[in-house]
Amino acid sequence: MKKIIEVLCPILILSSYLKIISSIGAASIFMIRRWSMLKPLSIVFVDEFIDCLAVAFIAFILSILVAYKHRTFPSFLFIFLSILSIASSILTFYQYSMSLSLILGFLVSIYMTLVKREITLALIFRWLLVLLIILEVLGFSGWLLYLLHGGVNPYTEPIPLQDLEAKIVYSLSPLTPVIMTIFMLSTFLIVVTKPLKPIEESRPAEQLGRVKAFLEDVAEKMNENADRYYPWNLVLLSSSLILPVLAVFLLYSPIVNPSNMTVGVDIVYYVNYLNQVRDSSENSLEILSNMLSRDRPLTLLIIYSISILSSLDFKTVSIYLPVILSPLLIFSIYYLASRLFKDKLYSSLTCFLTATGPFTTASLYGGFLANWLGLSLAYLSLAILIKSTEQNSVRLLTASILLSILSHLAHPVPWNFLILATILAAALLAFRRHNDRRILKLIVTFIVVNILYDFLKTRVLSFSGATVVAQSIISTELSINNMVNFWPINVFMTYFHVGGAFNFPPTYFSALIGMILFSLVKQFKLDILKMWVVAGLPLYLLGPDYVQARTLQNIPVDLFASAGFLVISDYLSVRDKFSPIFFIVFIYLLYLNNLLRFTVNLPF
Amino acid sequence: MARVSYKQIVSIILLNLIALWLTYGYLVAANPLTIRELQLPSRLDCRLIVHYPEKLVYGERFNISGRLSCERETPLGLIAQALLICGDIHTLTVNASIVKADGSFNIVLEPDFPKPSIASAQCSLTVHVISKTVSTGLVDKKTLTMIIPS
Repeated sequence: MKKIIEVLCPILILSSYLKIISSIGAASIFMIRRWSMLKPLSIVFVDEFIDCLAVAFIAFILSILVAYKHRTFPSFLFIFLSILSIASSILTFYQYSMSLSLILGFLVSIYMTLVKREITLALIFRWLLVLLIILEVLGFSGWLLYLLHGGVNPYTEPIPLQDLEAKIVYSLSPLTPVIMTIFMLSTFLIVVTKPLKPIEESRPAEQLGRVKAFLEDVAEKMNENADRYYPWNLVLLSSSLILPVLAVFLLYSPIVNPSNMTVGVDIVYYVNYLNQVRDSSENSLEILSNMLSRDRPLTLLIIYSISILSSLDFKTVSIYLPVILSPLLIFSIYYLASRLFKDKLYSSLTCFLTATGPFTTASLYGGFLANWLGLSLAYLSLAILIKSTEQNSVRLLTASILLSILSHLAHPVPWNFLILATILAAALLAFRRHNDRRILKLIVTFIVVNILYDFLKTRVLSFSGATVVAQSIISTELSINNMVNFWPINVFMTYFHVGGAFNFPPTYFSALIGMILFSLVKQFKLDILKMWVVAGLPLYLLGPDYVQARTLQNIPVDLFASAGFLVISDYLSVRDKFSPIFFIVFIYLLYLNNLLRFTVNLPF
Repeated sequence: MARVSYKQIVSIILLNLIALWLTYGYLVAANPLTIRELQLPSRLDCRLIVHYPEKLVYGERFNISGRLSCERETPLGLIAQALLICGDIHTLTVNASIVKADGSFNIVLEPDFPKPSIASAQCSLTVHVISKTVSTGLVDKKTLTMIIPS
């Protein structure tokens, strides 16, 4: 009987949640951009009446089982609530009926886990994960069937298999701007909450101490466990390398894009500029000098060179450039993540989240080729800089500086973030009591050489470059007015900018947990990442929608998110041996479906 | 009794202000329950009727007129948006017009993309009825041929 309650609780919670988001419209409002424009967006299995009655009956059976086991007052209250839910369904008050069932699901779970202690929370979570995995598998099968056998365009006619999964993800949309903003403010919030320590030996102090000890234990494990869940490391890493490449080809496959439209808003600017430079220049030297005067010459030069060598036009090269850019970014992130923690699962999970999460979907949608390349080089430069501080190596420092200069040449924004983050981290290090002068010297050298290079390019040679772009954004785009209108701008950016690519709550929720974990580890290498987020805060709060979006695009959010997911996985592994595996499977399918929803679901 | 330091008071005030601001963001700006989009017309009680031009000629303006025919009153604040997508690269043209109280609208579009080097191109013209933030689901689409004068 315990087993049945264990399974029925998550079924009741999930089914009543689905019906609630359907009736209040949460499932429909924010998914318009990425989902059907033609079909009603409610969730109906048989019909509204039968669906709600079935859920209310599950609630009734659950409450009877609990009352049979424990003849206590709460058990009879559960029966009363379930009868009320059935009655509301019959009277067609579906929203009240489902709310009652959902409340009952939570109450029974709390009663059986925390009051009676007969079932552990991890077991309920295990079955909830199983149900969510089933929904994710259905979603994935739907995309696969569509790709293999064709059918209606999911953008205009949602297929039931993908429908539930997409609606659950988008029902959490209202949380995205808030969680995203808390994540951006997190370093500031940690500083603000520092003076508020609970009274020693009190219950809150004890609980806080336990949470802190657990997180410190997780961080320690991440520095020790090199090969846990070994097969998953391989699966995640190989998927990160293969999936974005497949996604690029999918975008131009006849079934997804029958009219062969160009996907990637900015691609047109690269193509137009390169055509213009080629037509107006008389020789290669002039072409090179024209490109160098721009703020992203390396990217332009790469497209131009590949086009010349392969005899392909600029458009084709630009469209398929992510086939090279994505593996390069994955390599950089893997290298950077493995410098932060020894845990290979952390490194490969970070790569997977980047390859299938908001970064890749936004980059594909926006055609942010230069940003993609610039960020890869900036991450690689940072990883080598961290290694140079660990080994006190001037040779590595030189390599790091060279890579950062290449990042400057690829795109101005990642370089600005890298330099600002290292300046802030160096300042933090200088003010620490037991600072390491040796590390500080290396970092200062890195910063000074980079700034001198930028000065030479932008102020002496008068070419465009990182600080010129930063100066122009600060003077023309940032304003107090944007801060006053922060929420409308932020909500628009989340739901509509780059096709709503940033509207993916799991990333920001786990990144927040990751930030808490990082804040407990006082290491220079993690300080740079935290300062990277701090560097983006003024842009995020004072900028218009596209500046906010570029900020999110250029902060290492997946390095935090991956750590957050591992915290949850470790929490589950202490209590149940299957749950962590189910959790990783769930995350894998959730992110895979996110990539598919963006690439297969084009509005053409 | 433990004394509360000024740092703690500042922390509490700041945290409360941030919490209020975030709650406002969640409850007012981002929450579907408080965005009054639920009162928007659905396909069931409104019909979108669009009159498309006979032909499209590159470089010439054209009108798309139409009407939103609702069983009850036409809701205020709706916008009719037309998207023209022709052939390949650099071709998206968008314009919008307010839906009047009687449900009528008139959108003027002018293709502003570089002139294609072909004689004619297949174009897809889509009309959506949207509010300030979301689509109502009312949409109409037609494929037309655009003539490109030499």
